[in-house]
Amino acid sequence: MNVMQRRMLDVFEQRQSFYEVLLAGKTRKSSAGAPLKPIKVMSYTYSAQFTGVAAVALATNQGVQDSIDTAGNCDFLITYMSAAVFNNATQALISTPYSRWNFTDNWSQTPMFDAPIPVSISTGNGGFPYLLQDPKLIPANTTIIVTFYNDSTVGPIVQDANFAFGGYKIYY
Amino acid sequence: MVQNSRWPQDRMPRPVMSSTAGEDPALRSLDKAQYVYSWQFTPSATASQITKSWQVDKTNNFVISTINAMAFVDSTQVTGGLPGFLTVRDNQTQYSFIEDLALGLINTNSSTGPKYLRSMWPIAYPIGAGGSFTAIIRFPASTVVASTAWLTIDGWKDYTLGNTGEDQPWMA
Repeated sequence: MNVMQRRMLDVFEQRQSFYEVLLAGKTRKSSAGAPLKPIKVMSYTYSAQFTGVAAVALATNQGVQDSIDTAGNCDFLITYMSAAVFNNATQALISTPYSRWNFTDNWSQTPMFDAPIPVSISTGNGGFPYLLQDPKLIPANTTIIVTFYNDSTVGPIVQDANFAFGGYKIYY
Repeated sequence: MVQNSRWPQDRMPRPVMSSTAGEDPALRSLDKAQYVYSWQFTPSATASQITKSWQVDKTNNFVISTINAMAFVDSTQVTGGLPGFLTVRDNQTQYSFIEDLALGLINTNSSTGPKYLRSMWPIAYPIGAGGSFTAIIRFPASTVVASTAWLTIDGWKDYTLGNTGEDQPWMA
Protein backbone atom coordinates (compact mmCIF):
# COMPACT_ATOMS: atom_id res chain seq x y z
CA MET A 1 0.00 0.00 0.00
CA ASN A 2 1.49 3.33 -1.06
CA VAL A 3 1.02 6.70 0.57
CA MET A 4 -1.82 7.66 -1.72
CA GLN A 5 -3.76 4.46 -1.07
CA ARG A 6 -3.25 4.90 2.65
CA ARG A 7 -4.57 8.45 2.42
CA MET A 8 -7.60 7.34 0.45
CA LEU A 9 -8.39 4.83 3.15
CA ASP A 10 -8.07 7.55 5.74
CA VAL A 11 -10.62 9.60 3.84
CA PHE A 12 -13.08 6.74 3.70
CA GLU A 13 -12.65 5.97 7.36
CA GLN A 14 -13.71 9.52 8.06
CA ARG A 15 -16.60 9.35 5.63
CA GLN A 16 -19.24 8.21 8.05
CA SER A 17 -22.17 8.49 5.70
CA PHE A 18 -20.40 6.45 3.03
CA TYR A 19 -20.19 3.58 5.43
CA GLU A 20 -23.79 4.12 6.41
CA VAL A 21 -24.76 3.59 2.80
CA LEU A 22 -22.71 0.43 2.53
CA LEU A 23 -23.98 -0.95 5.80
CA ALA A 24 -27.56 -0.15 4.93
CA GLY A 25 -27.15 -1.90 1.62
CA LYS A 26 -26.27 -5.10 3.38
CA THR A 27 -29.45 -5.16 5.40
CA ARG A 28 -32.20 -3.49 3.40
CA LYS A 29 -34.72 -5.30 1.27
CA SER A 30 -35.66 -4.77 -2.33
CA SER A 31 -38.94 -3.15 -3.31
CA ALA A 32 -40.59 -6.54 -3.49
CA GLY A 33 -39.61 -7.28 0.09
CA ALA A 34 -36.97 -9.87 -0.68
CA PRO A 35 -34.29 -10.87 -1.29
CA LEU A 36 -31.57 -8.64 0.10
CA LYS A 37 -30.02 -6.38 -2.50
CA PRO A 38 -26.38 -5.45 -1.87
CA ILE A 39 -24.94 -2.17 -3.05
CA LYS A 40 -22.19 -2.44 -5.62
CA VAL A 41 -19.34 0.06 -5.74
CA MET A 42 -17.09 0.49 -8.78
CA SER A 43 -14.15 2.82 -9.28
CA TYR A 44 -14.64 5.35 -12.06
CA THR A 45 -13.41 8.71 -13.35
CA TYR A 46 -15.38 11.34 -15.19
CA SER A 47 -13.44 13.94 -17.12
CA ALA A 48 -13.84 17.26 -18.90
CA GLN A 49 -11.66 18.59 -21.71
CA PHE A 50 -10.96 22.07 -23.04
CA THR A 51 -8.88 22.76 -26.15
CA GLY A 52 -7.48 26.02 -27.48
CA VAL A 53 -8.91 28.32 -24.85
CA ALA A 54 -7.80 31.89 -25.48
CA ALA A 55 -6.74 34.13 -22.61
CA VAL A 56 -9.16 36.69 -21.23
CA ALA A 57 -8.27 39.29 -18.60
CA LEU A 58 -8.93 38.20 -15.04
CA ALA A 59 -11.17 41.19 -14.42
CA THR A 60 -13.39 40.19 -17.34
CA ASN A 61 -14.15 36.91 -15.57
CA GLN A 62 -15.18 35.10 -18.75
CA GLY A 63 -15.00 31.32 -18.90
CA VAL A 64 -15.79 28.48 -21.27
CA GLN A 65 -17.86 25.45 -20.34
CA ASP A 66 -17.86 21.70 -20.80
CA SER A 67 -20.49 19.36 -19.45
CA ILE A 68 -20.45 15.78 -18.23
CA ASP A 69 -23.59 13.63 -18.19
CA THR A 70 -23.35 11.09 -15.39
CA ALA A 71 -24.71 7.57 -15.78
CA GLY A 72 -28.40 7.11 -15.16
CA ASN A 73 -28.18 3.85 -13.25
CA CYS A 74 -25.84 4.81 -10.40
CA ASP A 75 -24.84 7.63 -8.14
CA PHE A 76 -21.28 8.91 -8.24
CA LEU A 77 -19.14 9.80 -5.25
CA ILE A 78 -16.28 12.20 -6.06
CA THR A 79 -13.31 11.45 -3.82
CA TYR A 80 -10.61 13.39 -5.63
CA MET A 81 -10.14 16.05 -8.29
CA SER A 82 -7.17 16.52 -10.57
CA ALA A 83 -6.24 18.71 -13.48
CA ALA A 84 -3.58 19.13 -16.14
CA VAL A 85 -3.22 22.34 -18.11
CA PHE A 86 -1.09 22.55 -21.26
CA ASN A 87 0.29 25.24 -23.53
CA ASN A 88 -1.76 24.69 -26.68
CA ALA A 89 1.11 25.72 -28.97
CA THR A 90 3.86 23.59 -27.43
CA GLN A 91 1.80 20.95 -25.59
CA ALA A 92 4.06 21.54 -22.59
CA LEU A 93 2.52 21.02 -19.17
CA ILE A 94 1.95 24.23 -17.23
CA SER A 95 2.47 23.19 -13.65
CA THR A 96 0.82 26.19 -12.03
CA PRO A 97 -1.30 27.82 -14.73
CA TYR A 98 -2.71 31.29 -14.36
CA SER A 99 -6.23 30.06 -14.83
CA ARG A 100 -9.27 29.38 -12.70
CA TRP A 101 -12.23 27.02 -12.69
CA ASN A 102 -15.46 26.13 -11.00
CA PHE A 103 -18.09 23.44 -11.42
CA THR A 104 -21.66 22.82 -10.52
CA ASP A 105 -24.27 20.16 -11.20
CA ASN A 106 -27.84 20.51 -12.31
CA TRP A 107 -29.12 18.64 -9.27
CA SER A 108 -27.73 20.72 -6.43
CA GLN A 109 -27.30 23.81 -8.63
CA THR A 110 -24.68 24.90 -6.11
CA PRO A 111 -21.21 25.75 -7.39
CA MET A 112 -18.39 23.86 -5.71
CA PHE A 113 -16.58 27.12 -5.00
CA ASP A 114 -18.24 30.40 -4.07
CA ALA A 115 -16.24 32.01 -6.90
CA PRO A 116 -13.85 30.70 -9.57
CA ILE A 117 -10.49 29.89 -7.99
CA PRO A 118 -7.06 28.96 -9.38
CA VAL A 119 -6.82 25.49 -10.84
CA SER A 120 -3.68 24.70 -8.85
CA ILE A 121 -5.17 25.63 -5.52
CA SER A 122 -8.04 23.20 -5.83
CA THR A 123 -7.11 20.26 -8.00
CA GLY A 124 -3.61 19.10 -7.31
CA ASN A 125 -1.61 18.21 -10.38
CA GLY A 126 -1.75 14.94 -12.27
CA GLY A 127 -0.50 12.22 -9.97
CA PHE A 128 -1.04 14.40 -6.93
CA PRO A 129 -4.78 14.92 -6.96
CA TYR A 130 -6.73 16.98 -4.48
CA LEU A 131 -8.48 14.63 -2.09
CA LEU A 132 -11.84 15.70 -0.76
CA GLN A 133 -11.95 15.07 2.93
CA ASP A 134 -15.70 14.71 2.58
CA PRO A 135 -16.48 13.13 -0.80
CA LYS A 136 -19.09 14.90 -2.91
CA LEU A 137 -22.17 12.98 -3.99
CA ILE A 138 -23.45 13.41 -7.55
CA PRO A 139 -26.82 11.70 -8.12
CA ALA A 140 -27.52 9.51 -11.12
CA ASN A 141 -28.50 11.17 -14.36
CA THR A 142 -26.98 14.53 -13.49
CA THR A 143 -25.02 16.94 -15.62
CA ILE A 144 -21.78 18.31 -14.18
CA ILE A 145 -20.94 21.67 -15.73
CA VAL A 146 -17.27 22.65 -15.61
CA THR A 147 -16.24 26.24 -16.32
CA PHE A 148 -12.63 27.07 -17.17
CA TYR A 149 -11.11 30.56 -17.17
CA ASN A 150 -7.80 31.16 -18.95
CA ASP A 151 -6.49 34.36 -17.35
CA SER A 152 -2.92 34.20 -18.73
CA THR A 153 -2.85 37.45 -20.69
CA VAL A 154 0.91 37.86 -20.25
CA GLY A 155 2.24 36.08 -23.29
CA PRO A 156 -0.60 35.36 -23.82
CA ILE A 157 -0.85 31.60 -23.61
CA VAL A 158 -3.61 29.63 -25.31
CA GLN A 159 -4.37 26.74 -22.99
CA ASP A 160 -5.70 23.20 -23.14
CA ALA A 161 -7.11 21.81 -19.91
CA ASN A 162 -8.20 18.44 -18.63
CA PHE A 163 -10.12 17.89 -15.43
CA ALA A 164 -10.78 14.55 -13.76
CA PHE A 165 -13.30 13.65 -11.09
CA GLY A 166 -12.23 10.37 -9.56
CA GLY A 167 -14.35 8.29 -7.27
CA TYR A 168 -16.92 5.54 -7.11
CA LYS A 169 -20.05 4.62 -8.95
CA ILE A 170 -22.61 3.31 -6.47
CA TYR A 171 -25.18 0.88 -7.83
CA TYR A 172 -28.26 0.31 -5.67
CA MET B 1 -17.59 13.22 12.51
CA VAL B 2 -17.39 16.43 14.46
CA GLN B 3 -19.63 16.52 17.50
CA ASN B 4 -20.39 19.54 19.60
CA SER B 5 -22.67 19.54 22.59
CA ARG B 6 -23.90 23.02 21.77
CA TRP B 7 -25.76 21.62 18.80
CA PRO B 8 -28.31 18.94 19.74
CA GLN B 9 -28.44 16.10 17.29
CA ASP B 10 -31.03 15.15 14.73
CA ARG B 11 -33.47 17.95 15.21
CA MET B 12 -33.67 18.91 11.60
CA PRO B 13 -34.99 16.70 8.82
CA ARG B 14 -32.29 16.09 6.32
CA PRO B 15 -32.78 17.02 2.69
CA VAL B 16 -33.70 13.91 0.76
CA MET B 17 -33.07 13.39 -2.91
CA SER B 18 -35.79 11.96 -5.06
CA SER B 19 -35.35 8.24 -5.42
CA THR B 20 -36.51 5.68 -7.89
CA ALA B 21 -39.19 3.19 -6.95
CA GLY B 22 -38.10 0.58 -4.48
CA GLU B 23 -35.22 2.50 -3.05
CA ASP B 24 -35.00 3.52 0.54
CA PRO B 25 -35.00 7.33 0.46
CA ALA B 26 -32.92 7.41 3.62
CA LEU B 27 -30.09 5.83 1.70
CA ARG B 28 -30.02 8.81 -0.59
CA SER B 29 -30.24 11.55 1.97
CA LEU B 30 -27.73 14.32 1.52
CA ASP B 31 -26.29 15.13 4.89
CA LYS B 32 -23.03 16.72 3.83
CA ALA B 33 -21.88 18.70 0.82
CA GLN B 34 -18.33 19.70 0.10
CA TYR B 35 -17.91 23.43 -0.40
CA VAL B 36 -15.17 26.03 -0.71
CA TYR B 37 -15.17 29.66 0.35
CA SER B 38 -12.58 31.77 -1.45
CA TRP B 39 -10.97 35.19 -1.25
CA GLN B 40 -9.07 36.96 -4.01
CA PHE B 41 -6.85 39.59 -2.46
CA THR B 42 -3.81 41.78 -3.08
CA PRO B 43 -0.79 41.42 -0.81
CA SER B 44 0.30 44.79 0.47
CA ALA B 45 3.30 46.28 2.17
CA THR B 46 1.37 49.30 3.32
CA ALA B 47 -1.82 47.88 4.78
CA SER B 48 -1.10 46.47 8.21
CA GLN B 49 -3.83 43.90 7.76
CA ILE B 50 -6.80 43.03 5.57
CA THR B 51 -9.90 41.06 6.51
CA LYS B 52 -12.64 39.05 4.86
CA SER B 53 -15.74 37.58 6.48
CA TRP B 54 -18.07 34.85 5.29
CA GLN B 55 -21.65 34.22 6.44
CA VAL B 56 -22.66 30.59 6.89
CA ASP B 57 -26.11 29.47 5.71
CA LYS B 58 -28.82 29.14 8.34
CA THR B 59 -29.63 25.66 7.07
CA ASN B 60 -26.29 24.06 7.77
CA ASN B 61 -23.10 24.29 9.72
CA PHE B 62 -19.87 24.65 7.80
CA VAL B 63 -17.05 22.36 8.87
CA ILE B 64 -13.64 23.67 7.86
CA SER B 65 -11.14 20.98 6.92
CA THR B 66 -8.51 22.56 4.71
CA ILE B 67 -7.00 25.97 4.01
CA ASN B 68 -4.85 26.78 0.98
CA ALA B 69 -3.25 29.91 -0.41
CA MET B 70 -1.32 30.90 -3.51
CA ALA B 71 -0.17 33.99 -5.35
CA PHE B 72 0.70 34.97 -8.90
CA VAL B 73 3.13 37.80 -9.66
CA ASP B 74 1.22 40.33 -11.75
CA SER B 75 4.03 41.10 -14.20
CA THR B 76 4.73 37.49 -15.13
CA GLN B 77 1.59 35.62 -14.07
CA VAL B 78 3.75 32.88 -12.62
CA THR B 79 3.47 31.80 -9.02
CA GLY B 80 5.42 33.62 -6.36
CA GLY B 81 5.96 33.92 -2.67
CA LEU B 82 3.18 34.95 -0.36
CA PRO B 83 4.21 37.01 2.65
CA GLY B 84 1.75 37.44 5.48
CA PHE B 85 0.32 35.78 8.53
CA LEU B 86 -3.17 34.34 8.75
CA THR B 87 -5.66 34.32 11.60
CA VAL B 88 -9.10 32.72 11.20
CA ARG B 89 -11.72 33.55 13.80
CA ASP B 90 -15.12 32.03 14.55
CA ASN B 91 -17.18 35.17 15.14
CA GLN B 92 -19.78 33.39 17.24
CA THR B 93 -17.34 32.02 19.79
CA GLN B 94 -14.63 34.62 19.17
CA TYR B 95 -12.23 31.68 19.08
CA SER B 96 -9.38 31.92 16.60
CA PHE B 97 -8.59 28.40 15.53
CA ILE B 98 -5.70 29.60 13.37
CA GLU B 99 -3.55 32.34 14.83
CA ASP B 100 -0.81 34.18 12.98
CA LEU B 101 0.05 31.26 10.71
CA ALA B 102 2.67 32.10 8.07
CA LEU B 103 0.97 31.88 4.68
CA GLY B 104 4.08 30.26 3.29
CA LEU B 105 3.15 27.16 5.24
CA ILE B 106 -0.04 26.68 3.26
CA ASN B 107 1.15 28.08 -0.06
CA THR B 108 0.27 25.64 -2.84
CA ASN B 109 2.68 27.07 -5.39
CA SER B 110 4.69 23.90 -5.73
CA SER B 111 3.91 22.15 -8.97
CA THR B 112 3.58 18.70 -7.50
CA GLY B 113 3.14 19.18 -3.77
CA PRO B 114 0.29 17.12 -2.40
CA LYS B 115 -1.40 19.97 -0.66
CA TYR B 116 -3.43 17.73 1.57
CA LEU B 117 -0.26 16.96 3.49
CA ARG B 118 0.30 20.62 4.17
CA SER B 119 -3.00 21.99 5.17
CA MET B 120 -5.62 19.35 5.81
CA TRP B 121 -5.90 18.74 9.50
CA PRO B 122 -7.58 15.70 11.01
CA ILE B 123 -9.89 17.50 13.43
CA ALA B 124 -12.09 19.84 11.45
CA TYR B 125 -13.53 23.01 12.92
CA PRO B 126 -17.31 23.62 12.74
CA ILE B 127 -18.81 27.07 12.22
CA GLY B 128 -22.38 27.14 13.50
CA ALA B 129 -25.37 27.61 11.20
CA GLY B 130 -26.07 31.27 10.62
CA GLY B 131 -22.72 32.20 12.12
CA SER B 132 -19.79 33.75 10.40
CA PHE B 133 -16.03 33.52 10.31
CA THR B 134 -13.33 36.00 9.46
CA ALA B 135 -9.90 35.66 7.90
CA ILE B 136 -7.35 38.28 8.91
CA ILE B 137 -4.05 38.57 7.06
CA ARG B 138 -1.28 40.60 8.64
CA PHE B 139 1.52 41.69 6.36
CA PRO B 140 5.12 42.11 7.44
CA ALA B 141 6.66 45.53 6.97
CA SER B 142 8.70 44.66 3.91
CA THR B 143 8.62 45.10 0.17
CA VAL B 144 5.89 43.09 -1.49
CA VAL B 145 5.95 42.19 -5.17
CA ALA B 146 2.74 43.25 -6.92
CA SER B 147 0.70 40.10 -7.13
CA THR B 148 -2.78 38.62 -7.05
CA ALA B 149 -3.45 36.04 -4.39
CA TRP B 150 -6.16 33.64 -3.32
CA LEU B 151 -7.09 32.04 -0.05
CA THR B 152 -9.47 29.11 -0.04
CA ILE B 153 -11.23 27.68 2.99
CA ASP B 154 -12.45 24.19 2.18
CA GLY B 155 -14.84 22.03 4.10
CA TRP B 156 -18.37 20.78 3.97
CA LYS B 157 -21.84 22.07 4.62
CA ASP B 158 -23.13 19.77 7.31
CA TYR B 159 -26.84 19.25 7.73
CA THR B 160 -26.48 16.66 10.47
CA LEU B 161 -25.22 18.60 13.45
CA GLY B 162 -28.71 19.33 14.62
CA ASN B 163 -29.28 22.93 13.72
CA THR B 164 -32.98 23.63 13.82
CA GLY B 165 -33.24 26.06 10.96
CA GLU B 166 -34.48 28.53 13.54
CA ASP B 167 -32.58 31.64 14.47
CA GLN B 168 -29.75 30.97 16.85
CA PRO B 169 -28.84 33.44 19.61
CA TRP B 170 -25.88 34.76 17.66
CA MET B 171 -28.02 35.53 14.60
CA ALA B 172 -29.74 38.47 16.30
